Amino acid sequence: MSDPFSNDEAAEPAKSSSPKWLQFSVLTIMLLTATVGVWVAQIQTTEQTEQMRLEIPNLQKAARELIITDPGQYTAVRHHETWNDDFRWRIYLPEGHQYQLALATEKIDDGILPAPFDTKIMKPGEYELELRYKKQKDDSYRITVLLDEEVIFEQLHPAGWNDNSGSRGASNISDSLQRGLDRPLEIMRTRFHVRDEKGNSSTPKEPSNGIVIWLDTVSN
Amino acid sequence: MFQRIITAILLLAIIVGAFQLIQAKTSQSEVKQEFDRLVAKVGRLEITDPKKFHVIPIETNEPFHYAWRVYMPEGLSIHRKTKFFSGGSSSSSTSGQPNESIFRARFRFVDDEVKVYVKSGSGSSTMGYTNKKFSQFLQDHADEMIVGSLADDGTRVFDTDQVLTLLKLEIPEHLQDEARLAWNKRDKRKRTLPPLILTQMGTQEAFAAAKEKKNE
Repeated sequence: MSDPFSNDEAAEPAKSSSPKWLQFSVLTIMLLTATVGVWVAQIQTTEQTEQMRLEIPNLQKAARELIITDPGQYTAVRHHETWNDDFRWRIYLPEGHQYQLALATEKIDDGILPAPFDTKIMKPGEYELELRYKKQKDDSYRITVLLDEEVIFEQLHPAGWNDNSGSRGASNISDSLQRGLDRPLEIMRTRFHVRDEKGNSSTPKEPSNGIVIWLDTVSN
Repeated sequence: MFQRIITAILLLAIIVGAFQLIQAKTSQSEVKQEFDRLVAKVGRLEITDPKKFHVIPIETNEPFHYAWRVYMPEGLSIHRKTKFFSGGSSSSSTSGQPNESIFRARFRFVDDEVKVYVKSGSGSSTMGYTNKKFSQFLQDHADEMIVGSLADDGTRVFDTDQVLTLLKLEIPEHLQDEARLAWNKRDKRKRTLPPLILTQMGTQEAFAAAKEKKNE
């Protein structure tokens, strides 16, 4: 009687259907997985960084931040207004020069710079500049200019300096801009209207009251 | 032998890849820091369809101060309308190119007056309502006002045939009587008080269609 569990045929090793060079160990598969993982992560990180880099200029513009592409030029940006007559700027003055910030409030004509009422020497660097322009209860006007929150110019103009007939112009700067140092950088220019005998208001032909703030280089 | 070569190549690829990844992460952390700072300041306005309005709120961290970044498609005549107490203001402009603007509504309490500054695009207006009691009432209940604002997280996209209500500030039901007294509104029927402010924008056609629908 033959043993049903016996195997008379000699045991033969299992034959693989793949050629030997296509057989991979577990270690190889793990290394391959790790390689793919590392390189996919690297590519994704680079792509995300590039996407953020591309979006940053638009975000800086929306946030009204200084965008200095040429450090040898004036750079200025006006902060977003959060109230009427909210005039705040961030300014950058390049190295290698000395500068003068000037304010004029009278005898303002179109296109030319008036004689400054007051000036302040400034060194290269970044500054916060602010103009406060407030009508007082007696219709006089208080003009204050602050640099890094410190008052540098202050003027009190009697009633009639601005008769509230309107004005032309305001800040010359909104989004971040750069200008060469070869000519002054006008930050603000406004001219007040005056009323004629018929009550119509317009900008007078002759120099009139208003506000001009500008920057210029001065010799050391 | 072949296995060993494969193993060596893979190990080399992992080492080079890991080195590159560390470099990429280092470079990303600087860019990300700047990116996150700016996004926290003005939000991330993602334009998915240039022919539609896109709106995202900007965090102001101030009560009674609301701001949004708004993208407007080109060639639309945009109408902006604000109702404030019994007054209001409106303005229109045509967007030549696709443009992005900051819209803002900010309240201030100056002496006995409630003032609001509304900026929409390049135009702005300031309106005021003098009433000491009501000014005090608003300041006392600043946190309880019902703020209907396009202030959800992320960019919201709207068809240009819609009128967008950027801000609608209402007095809650439980404060209506107190507000009526402070506002000095004598109304025997005690109708719900109108919104303190309603700021909307849209095309002229959208406003006309909304008005027509309301009249039906």
